[in-house]
Amino acid sequence: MSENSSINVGPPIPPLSTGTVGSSSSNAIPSAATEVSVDSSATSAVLDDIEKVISISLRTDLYFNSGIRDFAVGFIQNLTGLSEKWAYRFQSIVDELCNNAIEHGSADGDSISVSFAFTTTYVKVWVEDNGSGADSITATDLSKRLEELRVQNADPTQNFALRGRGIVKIIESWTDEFTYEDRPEGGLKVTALKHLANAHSEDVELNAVEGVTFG
Amino acid sequence: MASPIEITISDKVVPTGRMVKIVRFSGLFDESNADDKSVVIYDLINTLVPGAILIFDFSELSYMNSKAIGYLTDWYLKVTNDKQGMLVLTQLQSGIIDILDTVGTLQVMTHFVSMDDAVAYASQ
Repeated sequence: MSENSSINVGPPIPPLSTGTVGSSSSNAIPSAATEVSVDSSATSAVLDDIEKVISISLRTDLYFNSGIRDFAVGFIQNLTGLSEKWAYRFQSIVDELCNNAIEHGSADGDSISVSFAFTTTYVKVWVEDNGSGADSITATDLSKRLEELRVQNADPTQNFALRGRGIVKIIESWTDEFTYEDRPEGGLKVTALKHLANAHSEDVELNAVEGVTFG
Repeated sequence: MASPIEITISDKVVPTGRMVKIVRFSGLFDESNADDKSVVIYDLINTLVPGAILIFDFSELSYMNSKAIGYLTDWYLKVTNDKQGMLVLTQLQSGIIDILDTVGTLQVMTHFVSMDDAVAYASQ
């Protein structure tokens, strides 16, 4: 990471309600490493299910995206037990989220936050911008735009548009939950979650149909 | 600074005597370079004669994002509609197959496992 980026390992961010548009959130962009306190009487099963979070603050420079993609691949492969296919899919998911945050969210020279979290049952990534960008949008704006894009992308044989595939075709196809909400400080928090069981099931189905393994 | 990508264009004479353009993409085709590098292909398309055949070799292309895919579909439209030509893909890495299949591009564009298969198709 360059001097303009930092990796912060912070406390688990409380899970938010899903499917909420325009709701406010009290989760600030993680800014400093803090200690994680654990109840010593908790069972190992509970400890295993605590959401482990890694947050990275990035300057709004597309050049850093390749590094974040590489990080996503390593994170998924090494920490979640998911297949190589899902590691590569998550590099695309993270890339699309970051590109949108940089293009529509935070101004040049400002920053976005990229966070990765996992438990024994799911993996989650989210990106936060601060709304300083000239083209920043609200959760309501995004909702309307996504509806338009879903129509545009309904028939890929008729869709030759240059843009509009990142969320409605890539992220929504490869994740189980996609949510977005306005941040009280400004900007958006956009989250994509995949249940590990679903990912494993899809791998089994694909291998049964095609008789090949990914890679 | 942008992610590294190289686009090389060469000519190949197929068994029927026709000339095809082999366009090899090497590296990462993403948000940082897609706008600038797309000009290379648009300039190529502008020089094509009607009925031209392009084979895109993706053997060394390890990443495409949605913007790059958008350009790919636009090039396909221009080659097939504006130039009444053909554009096929070959030697796609598994991650590229996965993303192009997911967005539906492979419902429109033909792809081949090997360059020989693509050349044979272009030779028909």
